[in-house]
This record gives sequence, C-alpha cells and structure tokens, in this order.
Amino acid sequence: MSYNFDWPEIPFTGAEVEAFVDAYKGLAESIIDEWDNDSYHIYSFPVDGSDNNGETISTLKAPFRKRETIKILLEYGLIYAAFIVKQRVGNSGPGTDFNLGNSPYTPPLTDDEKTNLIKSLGCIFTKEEMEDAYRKNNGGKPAPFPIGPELFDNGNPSDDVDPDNQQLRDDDPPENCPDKNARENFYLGLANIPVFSSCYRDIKAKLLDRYLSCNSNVFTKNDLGSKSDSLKNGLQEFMDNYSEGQKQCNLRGQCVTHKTNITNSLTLAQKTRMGAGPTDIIWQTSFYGSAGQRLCLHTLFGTAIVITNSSGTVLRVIDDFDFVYGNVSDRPDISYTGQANPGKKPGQYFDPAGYQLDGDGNPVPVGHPTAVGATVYPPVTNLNDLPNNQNAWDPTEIGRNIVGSNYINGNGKGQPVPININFE
Amino acid sequence: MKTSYSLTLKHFNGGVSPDFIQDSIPGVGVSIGSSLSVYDIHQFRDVMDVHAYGKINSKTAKYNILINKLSGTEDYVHFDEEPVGILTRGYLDIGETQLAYYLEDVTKAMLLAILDGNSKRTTTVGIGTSATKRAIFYNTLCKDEFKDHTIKPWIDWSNSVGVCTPTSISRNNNVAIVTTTPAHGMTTAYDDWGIVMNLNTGIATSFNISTSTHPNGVPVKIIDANTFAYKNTGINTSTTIVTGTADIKVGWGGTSINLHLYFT
Repeated sequence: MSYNFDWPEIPFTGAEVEAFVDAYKGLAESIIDEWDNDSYHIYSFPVDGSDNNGETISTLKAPFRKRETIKILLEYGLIYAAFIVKQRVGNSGPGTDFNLGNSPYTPPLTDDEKTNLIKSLGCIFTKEEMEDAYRKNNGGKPAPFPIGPELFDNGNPSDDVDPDNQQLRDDDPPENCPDKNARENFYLGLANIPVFSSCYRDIKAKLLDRYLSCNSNVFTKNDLGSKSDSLKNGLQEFMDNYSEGQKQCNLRGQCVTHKTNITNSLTLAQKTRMGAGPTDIIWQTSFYGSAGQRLCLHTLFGTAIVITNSSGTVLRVIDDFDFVYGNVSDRPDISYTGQANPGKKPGQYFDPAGYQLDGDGNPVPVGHPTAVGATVYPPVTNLNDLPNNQNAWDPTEIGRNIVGSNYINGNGKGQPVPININFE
Repeated sequence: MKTSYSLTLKHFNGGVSPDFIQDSIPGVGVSIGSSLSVYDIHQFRDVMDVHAYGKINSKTAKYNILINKLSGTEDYVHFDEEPVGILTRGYLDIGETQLAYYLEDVTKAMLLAILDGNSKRTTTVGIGTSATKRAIFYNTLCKDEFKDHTIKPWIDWSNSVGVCTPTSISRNNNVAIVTTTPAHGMTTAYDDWGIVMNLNTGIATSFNISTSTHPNGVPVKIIDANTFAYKNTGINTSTTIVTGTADIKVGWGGTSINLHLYFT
C-alpha cells in the first residue's frame, strides 16, 4: 500500500510558516514511514503486570491506531497547524486579515461536497421536496441520480465509548435480571414522596432501582437532581468536621477513622483514573460516625472516596453502591471505584468460603485480622440469617430485606452501581 | 471517503454548530448573489488542553470489537466507503463530530512535536531528531496509563506561568468577573490566557476550577489590568469579597486562531 501524501496547498506565506510546513511534512512522512519500527510507541504490555495472555495491548487511544487513519488526519491537519503558526508570527497578509470575502482559506470542493454543503445549509431537503423541485426546474424530468436526505447526523458524542473497556469486549450474554416485584416497586415509589424522601432516601431508592434492574450505568451529578447542592454541602460539612486521621471510638474500644488521606498511596495513573488533579487530595472516608449519620451519609455511602482540592473543597465523591448482603463490586484496585462497568461477586454473607464476624458483628473473610472468635459461618441461604432485615417500619431495613431476598431467592440478582459524582 | 467526512476534514462544521459558531462573530454566514457563498470558522474545541479524545461511537465500537477479534487488529476508525443501505450511518460510522475531534488531536500532537520549548506562542521549529519528535506525537495520543510524564506534552503543558490574587468576584448569566489586587499581569498582547481559580471559603468556592477536569484551566477574557472574565456556570452572584489565589495558564489561543473559511 502506498502512503504518499497528497498535501494541500498552504494559503499562508512567510519564512516561519514555510519552515514549519517543511518540518510538518517531514515529521508526518517520518511517522508514516516508521510506523512499524515505532511499534514500541504503539503497543505495550499491561501496566498492571498481568501477562494479558501473552498479547500486547495498544498504548494509543482507540482512534489513533491505524496508519491509514493517521495519514489522513496528518494530511488535513496541516492547514490549521500552519495557520496557527501564521497567527503567531503576526505579520500581515492572508491569515491575519479577516475581512469578509478575504478569507485566508478557500477549500476546494468536489461536486459531491458542494451538494452536501448545500444540503447542510438547511434547505428543505425531504426526498419529495427535492424531487419536486428538480422536476420543476428541469422541465418535469426526473433527477438523474437518487435523491434523498443525507444530512450530517454529526454523531452523538454522549453515546461514545472507550472500546478498550473490558466489559464491552466480553462475550458473555447479559445476565438474567427478573423484573422487580410489586413490593419492590412500591418501596421504590414510596421513597420518592416528600417526607419519606428525606435523608437522601429518594437517592438511595434510585440507586437501589438500578441495582435491582441490573443497570450499572454510572450514577452522576445529573442523577442527583435538586439534591446535588445538599449532598455536596453535607460532604463538605463532614470533611470540615474532622481532621485527618481523626477517629471515633465506642465504649468497647471499636473505632472508625472518619477520613484518611490516601493520595500518596496511589500512582499517577490511578489518580488520573479517579479524576484527581495533581494538587487534589484523595480521602478514604467512613460515614459510620456521628457526623456521617447526622448528615444521612452512612446509609447512602457507608464508606466512600472523597476528592478535594488542596484547600479542602469537595470536588468529587466516588463509590460503588453494593451490599455485603447482596452483590459487591469486583474491582482490580481502589482506583477503579466508581468507574463504569464494575464486575461483581457475592457479598461477604454469601462468600462460598464462609465468613467470620468482627467486633461490630460485621461479616469479614475467614481468617481476617479483625475476626473475633473462631466461629466460621457458612454462606447464608435463608433470609432470616441476615441481621436487621425484618423491620417493616424502617426503610433502610426494607432495603436490606429486598436486597437479601433478591440474592437468595432471585438467583443472585443485583448489580453494583458505580457512583461518580463530580460537583464541579 | 464519505463526502461529509471530507467536508469535516476541511473544517466545515455545518450542522455541528459548535459553540464558537453559535457564538457567531462577523464572518460566519451565507450570502446568495451571483453564486452561493458560505463563510465558516474553525477553531480548536478545547483551546486550553491537549488531552486526546479516545472514544468511539458505541455502535461502531461494539461492531469493531467483534471484527477486530476475528481479524486480530485494533482499528476503530475507517474511512472506507460504506456499502449503501445496510451500513449507512451504522457500524462503520465515525461521526463527523468525532472526526473533528480526532483531527484536532492529531493537529495538536504535531504542533507539540514540532515547535520549540513547550510549543506555546512560539513559531520556532524545535531541534531534535525525528524519533524524539515522533515520541512526543505518540505521547500526546496515548492512553493515560501509558503517558510519559518526562517529555512533552505532559511534562510541562499545564504548568502555571504566574499567580494572581482575586479580591472580589461576581457572576452574571454564567460569566464570572474577577477583580485582582494587584494587577493580574495578563497582557492583552495575547488572547491565550487561562485560569485555575482556587478561592477559599463559602460561596467563593463555587467559582473554583477543578484541575481534574481542566488541568490547564479555562480560558479567560481580559477586561483590564485588574479584571478578567471566564465562563462559570452557577447562580447570579453579586460582587463578593474573596480570598485565595488563581493560577495563570497559557493555552492555544482565542479568536486569533479562528480560521476563517470561504466556500463558494
């Protein structure tokens, strides 16, 4: 295959532009000629150290991996790149004078492009109108080529995806996700009614609805609706309320750490994945304390990762909405929290290996350092074996009952929901 | 290649109507005299940053994942002619908006690779081997986890060029007006200034700019030696005394890099 460039005419002049254009063409040709030899720039092995089944992976983003594609983009990119240089030079001549009709760049158009350009100007362009117009203007003759609307659809970037996302690449068919029953729908609806919707119950109901609908779309700021400011303020109050590493202990000496700065434990790639800037601070938080409970954050998040700027302003909160008495997300590491398409695995109560209890009565893996006593409990198979799930008057426990019931009686139903709320 | 693709590559954004065309400035329009003339403007959609757009429209991505598994390739952008009918605006579609993004990313990668220093404001072609320049080109277009932060652009693109001290701020119709004391130091000789606001408390924090989403800040418009404006979504806010700082950045440029096009 030939990779000869078809360079456009450059309508700008000047020593700097000419030097730049020469350098541009030289580098572009070098990129295309050396594409195969530069494969170490284009392919690598996974950064996480896995062998990826012995296969290399692409280091370049998805749109830029094909030599032919890069060649075309390089060809068409020259004009604008040269124009920027022309503007920086700042001398007179085409490229600096913007009088109407004295445009610096007059792109040559093919007949097809002219046709498409006219269409794109918004003329009445239904098939019927076009055929009628053609006949009227041509003595009643039919058009010599098929006529039909072929306007730009312009794509829709909001639907775009990263094709390297593993979930997209999996061959497994979607898992069975039975419809919610009447009781579940009633509860979810109830939580949206004022009075019942306080304390973020409406938000929790939305999340639970997704969890039960096996909808793992990322829950974002837009999903918060009018509660966005309230939640941000609540998180800000929580963060302002505690100092780094501050703990709260009960009479039995069991403690929670409200916020822990984990920024330095993360690599740059991990921070980038989490949406943190170079000076931002990443906090592991636990809302199981007085302020967290007062602010209604403990049953919404339990624990979460909060990102602040260097001044302590809350920028983002990320979490996975999942349940130890249902399904929990299965992530490669903490930096994937809140990212799209989480894997899932049984919550601790349903671990095939069984579980032990810590000092607070929470399930932990067998042999975990916080396990108290030697009792190993088998995986739960009966709803009654899940604690705190039968109080018909407590919405939180109705939720637990629903989640546990779905897991036990619904063939493990329940999809963790990523939460990634950017308050900026 | 589809006609709409070639028009896009010639920077015609007709139906796309990006913000810079919607915010129409003189020189954009259509005139019908003895012939049809169309004026359009092209500019970078992101005038501050250099991060490449890595996504593909979902239907095309899923189709190509399947094809790539069979063919052992990793390609997602194809300019091949689509068969009429079945695949029209379908499985091989790039999308004109997306194509404009890709073109911008490659254009920026070339400017970064070729121009001297951090490639800002200069017209000087940098020294260095082709291999070194190609490394910068690839580095601009690679995934986050493979970025080499020891070379351009990631080594210095988002570096601040100064700091100023906002003393009051207001917001009206999603435009923030900032007053600084002393003067902010951004000269009107350039229109490529950007800012990262970092105000301290209360409502002032709603004006802040996150470097996680805008690592090189947001563009500003200089009003005078002590005042500048930037787009900032939020409730209208009367002039409020504030404390904090603002990092000053430099990007690609504002109206000076509006490429005026003339189709006829």
